Amino acid sequence: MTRTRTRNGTRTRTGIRTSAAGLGSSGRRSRHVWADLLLRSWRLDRRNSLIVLLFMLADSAALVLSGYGLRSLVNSALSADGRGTLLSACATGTAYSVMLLIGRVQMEIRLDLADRVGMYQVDAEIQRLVSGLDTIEHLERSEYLDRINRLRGKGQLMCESGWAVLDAAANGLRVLVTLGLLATVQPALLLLAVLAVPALLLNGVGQRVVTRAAEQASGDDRAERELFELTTRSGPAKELRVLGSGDGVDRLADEAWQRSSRRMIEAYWRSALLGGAGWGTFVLGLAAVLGVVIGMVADGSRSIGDVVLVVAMATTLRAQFERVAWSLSRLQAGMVAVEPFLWLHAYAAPDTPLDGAPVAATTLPTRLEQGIALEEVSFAYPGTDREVLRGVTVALPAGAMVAVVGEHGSGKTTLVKLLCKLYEPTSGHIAVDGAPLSGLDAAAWRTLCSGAFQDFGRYAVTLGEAVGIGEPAFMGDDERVLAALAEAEAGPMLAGLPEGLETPLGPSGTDLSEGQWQRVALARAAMRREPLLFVLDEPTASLDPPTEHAVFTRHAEHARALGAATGAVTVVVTHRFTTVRMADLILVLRDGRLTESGTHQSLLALGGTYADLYQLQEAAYAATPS
Amino acid sequence: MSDQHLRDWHLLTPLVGVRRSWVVALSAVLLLRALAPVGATLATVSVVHRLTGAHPGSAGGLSLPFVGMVLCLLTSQLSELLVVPLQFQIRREIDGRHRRLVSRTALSVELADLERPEVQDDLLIAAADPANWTERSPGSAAGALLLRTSKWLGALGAAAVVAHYSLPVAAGLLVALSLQNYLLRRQWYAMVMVWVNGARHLRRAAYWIDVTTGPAAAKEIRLHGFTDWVLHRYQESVTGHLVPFRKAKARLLKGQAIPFVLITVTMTWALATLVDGTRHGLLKPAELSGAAVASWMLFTIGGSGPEILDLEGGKIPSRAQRRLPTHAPAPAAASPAGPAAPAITTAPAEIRFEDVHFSYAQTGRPVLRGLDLTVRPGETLAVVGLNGAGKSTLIKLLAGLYLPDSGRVSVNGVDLAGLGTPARHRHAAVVFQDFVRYRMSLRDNIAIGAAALPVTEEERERAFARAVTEVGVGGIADRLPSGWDTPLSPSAPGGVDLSGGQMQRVALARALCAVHAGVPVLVLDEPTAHLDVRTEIELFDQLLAVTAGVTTVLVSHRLSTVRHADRIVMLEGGRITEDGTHDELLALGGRYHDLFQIQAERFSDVLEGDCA
Repeated sequence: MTRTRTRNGTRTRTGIRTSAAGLGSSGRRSRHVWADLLLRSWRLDRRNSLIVLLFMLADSAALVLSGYGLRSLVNSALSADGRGTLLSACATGTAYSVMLLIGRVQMEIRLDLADRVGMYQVDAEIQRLVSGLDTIEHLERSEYLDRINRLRGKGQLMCESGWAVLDAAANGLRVLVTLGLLATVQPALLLLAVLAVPALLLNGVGQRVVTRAAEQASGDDRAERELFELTTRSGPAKELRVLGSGDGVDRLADEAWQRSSRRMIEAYWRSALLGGAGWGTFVLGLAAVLGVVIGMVADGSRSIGDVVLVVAMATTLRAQFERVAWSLSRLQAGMVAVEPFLWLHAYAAPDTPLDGAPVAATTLPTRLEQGIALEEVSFAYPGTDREVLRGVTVALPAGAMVAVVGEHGSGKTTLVKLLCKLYEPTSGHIAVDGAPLSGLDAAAWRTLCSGAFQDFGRYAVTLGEAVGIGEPAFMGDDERVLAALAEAEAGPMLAGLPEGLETPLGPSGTDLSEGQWQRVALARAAMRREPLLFVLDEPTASLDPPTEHAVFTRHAEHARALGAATGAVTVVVTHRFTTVRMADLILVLRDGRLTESGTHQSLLALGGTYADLYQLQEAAYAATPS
Repeated sequence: MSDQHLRDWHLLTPLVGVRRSWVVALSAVLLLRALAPVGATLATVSVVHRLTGAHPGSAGGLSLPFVGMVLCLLTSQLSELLVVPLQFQIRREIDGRHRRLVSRTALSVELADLERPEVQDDLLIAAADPANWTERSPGSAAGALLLRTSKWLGALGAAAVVAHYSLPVAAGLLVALSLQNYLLRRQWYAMVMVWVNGARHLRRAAYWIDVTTGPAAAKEIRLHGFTDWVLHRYQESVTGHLVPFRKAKARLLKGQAIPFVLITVTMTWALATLVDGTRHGLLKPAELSGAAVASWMLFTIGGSGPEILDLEGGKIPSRAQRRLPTHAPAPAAASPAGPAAPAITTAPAEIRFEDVHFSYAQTGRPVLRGLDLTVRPGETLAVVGLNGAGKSTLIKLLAGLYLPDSGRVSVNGVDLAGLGTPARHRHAAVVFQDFVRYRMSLRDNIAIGAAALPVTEEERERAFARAVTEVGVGGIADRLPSGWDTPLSPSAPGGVDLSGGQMQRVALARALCAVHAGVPVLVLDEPTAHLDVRTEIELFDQLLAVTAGVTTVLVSHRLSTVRHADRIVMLEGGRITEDGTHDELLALGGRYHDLFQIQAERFSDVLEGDCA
């Protein structure tokens, strides 16, 4: 099966050059990512990138200068004439001042670069990639969801970790410089480098302890957040008050918080202990070395200036090693996001490198001649064995209004999702006018679809926007938005809103009732004027009878008008048989199988499940209740 | 606004609640961390001094300062390491308390206040969500303030060392440090405030990230293809934050020239003065290096830094939390319950609405206008009306969640307005349309219905067992991976996401659990909206049997369900317009009749022609 992929060429420009999964070690691929991120900083702002690089070098230079300056200060104080005093004082003072300045400024510039590259480019790219995934399979697998959660909003962190790579190198350089200075006094002092090895190693172990604990605590953290939100949002507030369950929820939140805290605190203490062992050893080793040097000075074989230099340098050596460890930890922090980032790229484009040539857009049908055919379509949700659809074969003729009925869990919604290409069938085929749906670009196919789902979104935007996003090209076309609202019988609702289309929706604006949100979703569905596939998945559960009736009658008329004009197929999932009977074709699903299909009359005559369910509901409305 | 007056020291008040030993330990460690380098310098001077001083070669005099130096280095090292866990545990402690304080405030305010946008906004800000790195918390602010204090103490220690050799130099350095810190703090403050004021843009950006990558919009974003639009808005939010922030940062960076010159000049002066002093015998050559290093330490230890972001950023949630009571005053303390409290929980209960008026403060639109309604003890009353007729509002008044603007709502003759908050809700078990999915096990999701009621453990168990049998939840439990212990949250380990219909049954069982534990009124708001035909009919028949003798109020658009109620009322224009049994109302030929016909007549063949 080949998949054509194009997204209007938008992502090819910003795409990171990472090759598909399986090429090279993850370390090499991480280096790719970091190199690319640094390259982006460079392209975005050469001046500031250069400044950061220069600062990294200047920091080491200033360090050397301060060491020499101090020695010459002491030596000039010992000399009879005061010549050179001012020069050494000025050099040392400037060196100190430069180090302070760099310490304050360099990080800010780095963060600025990381802000811009991370938020504008990387975060946007992550969003584009995730929302551009053809299917929503990633939502069903917790290992995918976890990765995406670890990646969300982490662009800045990743870029920062790119700089941390350079920083680690610069800090390493500084260590070398310091050791070099020390070696000018006594080559044996190079041994200090060896002492740092166990400290750095233990430091790394401690870091991993913390990272692992954070992963383990994330479940409790999520629980605490969810429970906290329950107590503060206005929706659940009603039930929490009436049942008096608020205290219980709050207690659970607190318990989750405490559990997470305990786990993390323990990890931090263990990490501190490991660090203490490592760095403590280093300090003691340092003391031993200093003792030797002091002994040598006591013998008179070294000058006091030397001692001053050695003591000053050796004591900063520890701080420098720590800075190496610190930049490595920042690198590690970024690594947490780099792994899922690489995964996302590989997952989003399994066959083609991202910077590959854009695939020519597939020619899309403008009307349906035959309709949509399903052949032996089966589907099991990823990671599960249970088939929610089993061998469904049916033709949805062009221009038809199709109703899908069945009890809960019979696979109705899944069928709709497959038609919208939100999932690929596990086996079997779906064909649009004879052409396989799998061969169509998902995004392109979906420009020909519209509809509303049971679990529609409640967007915190203005009413006009919440409707307008149904057809982004006509965003802001008030006339069209108003027409769509009228279509969804939302006129009275609009009249009740203080700022009309400009009314902000959601908890921080006007919070709508269930039925009102439903109308917004229906209006959104009505924004796209001539879809070839229109799906309604139980979209009227909260509407009152006249509205529901009006909505369905309107949609039935629409389905017919559209069907006649473009051969569009309308698929309605509903429990209301009064709607179902208007359909040209009724599909009855049971445990994932298509058990009956036909018109209302033929199915009634068949006397199967449909007739059974229909009569049940009919009886409920009969003149005398049974 | 009063909330502007959140002084720095206020940030320390949360420390009062933290275990004293932790705070003492952190303060001590911070102080040690600040002073240890100074001590190391002193010891070093002493070592060098002895090496060059009066007794060259006397190893005995050398060992003490040398040991001191090593100890100082070790202390410096270890305190550096200890700060991390101590700071973390204190921050978690403070933030945990803060979040519980916020959630308890939210739980205690009147629903009408909680629903106000400004309160929701403040709650969002006060939350200091630990998952959002852009949000600083009260805990991080307290830590930053301790850090700042320790920095000053460290700087003073270093200054004392310098003063030992030269008072003017020490004084000059302290003046320069104060000046520098004043400048830095002003510069940082200006930048941080821009960041603080732009934080809403960051929150908005985070919202857009949720939309594009979260599950809520996954289907629609693909179906309607609005990714680009959302990304555009995301970019706008980022720009809204970054453009002013970058401007402020540019000002900050440019402003660094002044402290740079200041420090360069001061240090040069200080070093030259010290050298001069050495040459004049005021300091020994060995002491010169010590004094020079201590001079520098004044700035490395005492300089203000990015902790101001934690400090000012951490004030934001504290301010929002302090603002909450002014927007949403806590309701009057529970009134002396007296004999009133038991009266409303006596079954079967009678509910009476008398000339009730109610309008929402936000829109000012009157919803109920002179509503009179009596729900008789033990009857099943159905409330019917169009969307927006005020059915949900009526339920909220009935449950004591809102109080009427005028008129009165009473249960068993007790005016709800006279009761305090928990007592005011105790008479009703409600299945709301947007019932809650607790992040708990299936069992607890149901048992929580009776958890807060004053009954014995045994009665609770019995109520639970009855409720789950009546609604048939056992069938759901059997199919779950861990049965009754399965968490009903897909994000919990081993958790599952029940379908809408299954969840609706769980919510019903929850309410019944409360009823069986003694709550006398059952309220159902569209209880069968997510159920399929067969389940709806079966379940409803069952419900009618179960609730016989329990005062039940049912709100539904499904008139096939409604017709079985003992009595039906039509809510229109903020009052009851029709009242009677199904047959009576059909015979009346009014609004109810019309609504029923709309749903029923589609089963007759009249409409056939319409659609052909």
